[in-house]
Amino acid sequence: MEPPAKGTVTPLGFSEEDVRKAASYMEEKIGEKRVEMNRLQQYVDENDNLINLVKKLPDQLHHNVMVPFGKMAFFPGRLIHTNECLVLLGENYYTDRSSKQTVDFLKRRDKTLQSQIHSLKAEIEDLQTEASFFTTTASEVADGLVEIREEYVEEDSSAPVVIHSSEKEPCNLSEGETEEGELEDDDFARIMARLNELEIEEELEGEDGDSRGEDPDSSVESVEQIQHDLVKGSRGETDRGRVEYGKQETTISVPNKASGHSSSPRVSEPRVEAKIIQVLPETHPHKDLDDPLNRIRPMAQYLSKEGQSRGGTPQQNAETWKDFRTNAKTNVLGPQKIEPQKPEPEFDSTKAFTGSIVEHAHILETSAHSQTQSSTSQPSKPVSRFRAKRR
Amino acid sequence: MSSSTVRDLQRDLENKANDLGKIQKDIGKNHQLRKKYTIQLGENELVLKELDLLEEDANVYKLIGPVLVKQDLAEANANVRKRIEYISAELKRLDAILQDMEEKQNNKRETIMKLQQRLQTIQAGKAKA
Repeated sequence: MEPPAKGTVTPLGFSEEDVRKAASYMEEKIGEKRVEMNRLQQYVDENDNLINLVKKLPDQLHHNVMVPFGKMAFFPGRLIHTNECLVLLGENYYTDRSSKQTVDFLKRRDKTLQSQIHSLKAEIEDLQTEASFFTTTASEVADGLVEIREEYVEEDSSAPVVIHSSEKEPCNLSEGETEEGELEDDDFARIMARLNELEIEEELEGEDGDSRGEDPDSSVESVEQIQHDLVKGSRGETDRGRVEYGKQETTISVPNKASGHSSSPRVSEPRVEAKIIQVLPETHPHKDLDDPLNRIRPMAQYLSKEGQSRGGTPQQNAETWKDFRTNAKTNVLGPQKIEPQKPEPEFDSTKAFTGSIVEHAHILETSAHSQTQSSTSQPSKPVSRFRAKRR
Repeated sequence: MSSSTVRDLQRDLENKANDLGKIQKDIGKNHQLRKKYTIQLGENELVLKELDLLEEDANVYKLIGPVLVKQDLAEANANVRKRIEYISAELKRLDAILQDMEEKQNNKRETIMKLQQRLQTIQAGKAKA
C-alpha cells in the first residue's frame, strides 16, 4: 500500500460578487473604448469624403454651391478659386494650400487616425481577455471549484554512469601532440644555441681582423687630428656625418656592433665627443657582419644538415627557416644617430686644449695647409699636424 | 474601557477612509488633466510637423476670436514650440504630483489595514471573553 500523497485543498480566493463586479467594470471600459473607436472611425470616414471632394474641386473652374448662413439657412454661391484651400492645421492655425497639398495633408491626418484606431483595437483586445478571465472565474466560483495542490517527490535515478572508450581517445591524442611540441621546442632551442655560437665566432674573427690592420701610432695621431679639427671648426655645419670646417673635411664614423654578445671593448677605436655624430653606411667598418645574408649562410647550412638527419617535413623546415630569418632581421643594427643633449662650450680658435700652450694664427694656417696636402696624398691614414710640421 | 478604544479606532478608521477617498478623487482629477494635456501635446506636435513642412513664403493665419490674423511662419513655429515645452513641463509636474499622491495613498491603505487588524483582534478578544 502506497502512503497517501500530501496536499492542500483551497477554495478560490475571491467571492462571486467581487468577480461579477470586476467583469462588469471591464465591460464598461470596453464600451468606452468602443465609443471612442467609433468616433475615430467617423473622423476617418469624413476625412476620406473630404479627400474625394478636394480631389474633384480643381476639375472645373467654377462650382455652384449652397453656402451655409448660420445654423438654419443657406444661400446660393459660387466657388471661384477651386485650387485654393484654407486648411486648419490645428490649435487655431490656418494656412493657404493648393488642392494637391491639401490632399497630402489629409492623407497624413488619415495615417495618424488609423494608428490611433489600431492602438485602441489592441487595448480593447486586452480588456476583452481580462473580462473573459473574470467571467470564467465567476462561473468557476459559482460551481464551487477548489484548487488542489499536491507535493511532488522526485524519484532518484540509480542508473550507473557508463564511460565509453571513445571519451578517452582525445586525451591520448592531446598527449601525443604535446610530446611532439616538446620535441620541436628542443630542436628549436638547439638551433638557436648553434646560431648564437656562430655569431660569436664571426664577431671574434671580425675583431681580430680589425686589430691586425691598425697601427697603434696612427690611432693616437688620428685622435690628435680629430681633436684639432674639432677645436678649429667648432662653428662648422654638419651634413650627413661630415663635419665641415672651412676648407677642411673630416669624416667621423663610429662602428656598430653586430650584436651584444662581445663583452671586450675595442682598444683601437677612438672615442670622439662631437656635437652631432652621424654614422654613414659607406664608412661602416663591419659590412660583412651587418649583411643579413652573411649571417644566415652558416645557419642555413646547419639547418639543411639538421633537416636531412632528422628527416623532417619541408613545411616544418620552412617554418623554422622563417623564424630564423625574422630573428636575424631583428638582430641587425643599422646606422645610428647620436645627439648629445648638452651643447659644448665654444673654444677660441687660437687656443689649444691645455690652457698653458698658446698657438699663433700663422702657425695654424701653415699646419692646416700642410695637412690638406697630406690628406690628398694619403686619404686612408690621417696625419698628425705635428708630424706635418716636422716635414 | 475597551468599548471607548474600539470607538476611537472606528472613528480613526473612518477619517482615514475619507482621506483615502479624497486622495483617490485627486488622483482621478490628475488623470483627467494628464489626458487633456497629452491630447493637446499630440495636436501641437502635429501642427509643428505641418509647419515644418510648409515653405518659407507660405501664408499662415491664426484664428483669434472670429477673425483670422495673418502671422509670420517663424513666429507661429516659435509659438507652437513654446506651447509644446509648456505642456511637457506641465505633464512632468503632474507626474510628480501623481507619484506623491500614490505614495500617500499606499501609506493610507497600510494604516487602514493595520487599524482593521487591531479592530479585528479586539473584537476577537471580546468574543472569547
